[in-house]
Amino acid sequence: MSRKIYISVFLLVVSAIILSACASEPVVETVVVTQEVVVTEQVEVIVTQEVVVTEEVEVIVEATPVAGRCAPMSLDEVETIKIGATLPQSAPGSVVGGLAMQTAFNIAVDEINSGGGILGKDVDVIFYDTASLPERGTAAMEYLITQECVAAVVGEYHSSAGVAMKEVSKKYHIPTVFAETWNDTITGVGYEEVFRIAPASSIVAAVDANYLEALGLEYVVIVTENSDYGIPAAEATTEQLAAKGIESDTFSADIGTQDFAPVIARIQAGETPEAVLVLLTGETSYNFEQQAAEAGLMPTAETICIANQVAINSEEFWTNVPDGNYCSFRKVGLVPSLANDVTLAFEEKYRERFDRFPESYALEAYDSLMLMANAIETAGSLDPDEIIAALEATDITLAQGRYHFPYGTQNPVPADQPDWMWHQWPDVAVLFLQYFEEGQSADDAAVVWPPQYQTHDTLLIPFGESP
Amino acid sequence: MVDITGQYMLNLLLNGLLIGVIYALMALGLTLIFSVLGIVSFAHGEFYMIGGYVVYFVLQRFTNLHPYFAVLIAGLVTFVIGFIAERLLLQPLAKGEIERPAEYAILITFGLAFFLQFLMIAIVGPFPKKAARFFDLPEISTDILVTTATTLRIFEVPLSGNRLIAAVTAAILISATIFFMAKTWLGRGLQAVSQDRQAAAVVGINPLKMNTLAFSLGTMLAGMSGAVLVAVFSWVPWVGVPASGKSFIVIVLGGMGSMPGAVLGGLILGVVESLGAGLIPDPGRALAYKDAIGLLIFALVLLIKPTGLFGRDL
Amino acid sequence: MNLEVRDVVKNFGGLQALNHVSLSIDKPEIVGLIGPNGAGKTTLTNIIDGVYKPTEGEVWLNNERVDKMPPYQIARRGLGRTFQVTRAFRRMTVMENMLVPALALHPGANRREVEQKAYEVLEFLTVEHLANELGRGLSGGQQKLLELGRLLMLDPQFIILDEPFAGVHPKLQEAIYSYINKAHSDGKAIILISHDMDSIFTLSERLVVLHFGAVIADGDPAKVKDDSAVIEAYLGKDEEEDEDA
Repeated sequence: MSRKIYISVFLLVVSAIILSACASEPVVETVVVTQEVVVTEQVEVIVTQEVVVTEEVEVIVEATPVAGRCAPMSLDEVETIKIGATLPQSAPGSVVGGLAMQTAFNIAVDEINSGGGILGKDVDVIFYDTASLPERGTAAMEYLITQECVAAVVGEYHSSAGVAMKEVSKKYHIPTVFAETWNDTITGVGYEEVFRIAPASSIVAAVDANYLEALGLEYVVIVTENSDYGIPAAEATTEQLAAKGIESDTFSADIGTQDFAPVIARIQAGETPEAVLVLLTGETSYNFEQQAAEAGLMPTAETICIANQVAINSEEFWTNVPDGNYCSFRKVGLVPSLANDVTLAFEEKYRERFDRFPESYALEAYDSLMLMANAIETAGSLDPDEIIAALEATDITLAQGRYHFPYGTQNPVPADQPDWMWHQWPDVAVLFLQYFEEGQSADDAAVVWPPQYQTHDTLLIPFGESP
Repeated sequence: MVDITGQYMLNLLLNGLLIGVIYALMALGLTLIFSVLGIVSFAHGEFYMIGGYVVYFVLQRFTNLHPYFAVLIAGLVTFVIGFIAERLLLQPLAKGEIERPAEYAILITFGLAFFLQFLMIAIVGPFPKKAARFFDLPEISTDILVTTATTLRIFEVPLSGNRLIAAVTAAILISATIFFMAKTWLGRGLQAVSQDRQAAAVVGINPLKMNTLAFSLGTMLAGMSGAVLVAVFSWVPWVGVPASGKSFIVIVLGGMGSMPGAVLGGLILGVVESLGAGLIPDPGRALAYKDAIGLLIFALVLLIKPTGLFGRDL
Repeated sequence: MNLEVRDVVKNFGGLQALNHVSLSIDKPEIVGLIGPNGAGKTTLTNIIDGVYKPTEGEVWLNNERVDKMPPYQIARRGLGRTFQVTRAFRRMTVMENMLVPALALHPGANRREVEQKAYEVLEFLTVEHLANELGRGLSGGQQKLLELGRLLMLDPQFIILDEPFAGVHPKLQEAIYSYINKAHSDGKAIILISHDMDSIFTLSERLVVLHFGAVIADGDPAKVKDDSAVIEAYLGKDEEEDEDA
């Protein structure tokens, strides 16, 4: 049996992996056509203000001949309204996240359709597994838009996929509401098609920095993942901390890393950090957190443990990080005490599948679809420009709270605001919780930040003590 | 940034060895399969993954069961699955019934890998699982050695109790395997077939039976590697993918088909990865390069001595 | 005891390697099998041994049809063979090599007894002092002797020796001679393939000549030697070589 064949195949696979990792930045196509549309539209709007609406529509149709786009432009053309939804359903994506989002989407679709659909038409959600990979994100969009002819796209969990997807949204002028992708540039590039209801990484970094500043820390270690989410998030956090005079060092690891012993040894060999902030996600974060606890790095009296937000899944957390008591963790999205009626109704259905309060990405998935449905209904049309206009004018309360997008085509982002505020929902709840009893449910964990939501009147429960 | 003290180096070295022993156990199985069947099983990591899950579920169901029994059960389960897989998928290859054997061997084990992985996702779901610690360490306190239930400190270098137990268990299993190969008739038969298939046949050894035995033993060793690690790392259905890759590197490093090579190669890889992650100047990237280090070794071996450390004379 | 090759044809694609070969051995005798290179001697051995399956024809061993059986089963039924290029187990010691066949056939056997017997065989072959050497540490001739010894551990009725003298030191050749004679007097039948005409004529009681895959002579060596067809095909050239040697 030829050994050379095995080695060649293996090297080929390895090269493919390395190349795909290097090629994580999507090829950006300059679509001049779209630009022209904008210009033409502006001109025509002014001129045809007193003219019948139909003329305006005609102009736009002529000016958007993007090859491949097959979404219907008017509701009369279709029996059902197709909306695309991307999510991770296989590794290296977060299958856990994808499962939650799929459940949420299905709850939303049932709700919409049993309520008569959108303007009398049923909604059909088409799923696509992006597995967190940029090339799959692109493939997902191309498929959904040119094969399934979806009128809009919602969802996505991983920034790596989202960063690639936004380019395709722009190319085909398809309204897109991103549910859980944090990378700043997704809205930072200011595409009119792209909206986001998750926080931008910088928002989160700002909250992290504010909390750490309030704790009076001077040196922090950040452990992050090698991805389009992890690296920028770590950079943003480092910047924000530096602006507050807090020093930090960042260690990065690939998704799926199991053995953190060398990096823990390294951290312990250097200056003792006052906190370790874990930006790794999924089971990778559990591996680090448990090994750090076993090695006596954190949580200790000297070093605060700020676990990754997946720690909110308390049963899973305690199984995988049994020595993780006194870890804090950030929580994006609502806690039960902040739930409104929409949240509670959704929670009830969500608990039929998972016995826990819906995670932020589940709420976001639900909301992203409901938002899009709401916008199509308000626009009364499948015309992308009208949907976009309706989205920009959103004022509706859904599971995560009241949605609005302060900055858009009608109100551009001013110079003193960061560029990612474009089409960004600004009121994302970001809290810090802390476990203080082994095996504790997340519902019973203490809220320690921001001050107005604290449940135990403290920023931090000291290691080993009761609140 | 890092003070390179003797203690730091000892930390890296010891942790590297602990992980290396596990690499060695897993690679032992893969090299056994290669030495007798002449193919590389790309599904090896999936047996590692299944072994871990078996221990997790067995210990969940029978909380008072001694963890070593669970490890043995995991070995038994992966042995049986390997047996069935070999009979169904690989025997035709050995009997010469396949038209394009080289391509078939690669594709069929890849196919098996995907099948097992996604089957497990469907059965157990994607949520990370972890078995409870196998044993609490006895509490000792001397000048050099201090232990708590979870951690052992030697010369003040902290070693995870879990990991230590896993490594010791793996070492026991490696020794058992070596004993089996050297001292039992079946082990001798496997060695004979791996050294010269035709000669073994003309002295009365059934090569097809040895194929099945070798593959099943190989998958059993992979399964037991996973079985000892499920209390150390969080377990998900795709946990076998990087493990497969590491095993492959180890057997090429040690010499494909060589059992001492697999053991030494595993230890070397574990130590080099640990040293690399701990010593590469850029702390931000050092851990991320850990896997690259393994591949670098791989490339160097192929360039300098393609047959590996204990490579067979071609 | 009975080994019968019945009208065997073996084709490899378009090439006919064996052309209606028939051969029968039913008593302990030393049969020399000779023929020019490419005549089909090794192919015939591989057919008898089960490595190849005949395109046509049958092979019978002790009234059992064996041409469809895999080699290891034929070995267990009492037929042993050696290879032109020695195939000792290189990473095992000489003693371990000797133990493999015995334990393959009788897994429960008393190990010490088997080791005793193995030692006796090695003694007979004058290589007992190499018992703990690894196979790859032996000289070519010593490896050949090892292969012969290992074969005996199978206790076969029929032995096929493929070029046992090639590249062997004259002193070790002596040992191989005694091996063949002893096996013969122990009631075994031996098929001896060799280009060494001296040895063939010294040892064989019967001579079979293959030419282009067909048997062109089969009988008393003295008569075969004088057979005109044989001389024409083969012996003529070799006699000249022999004189030079």
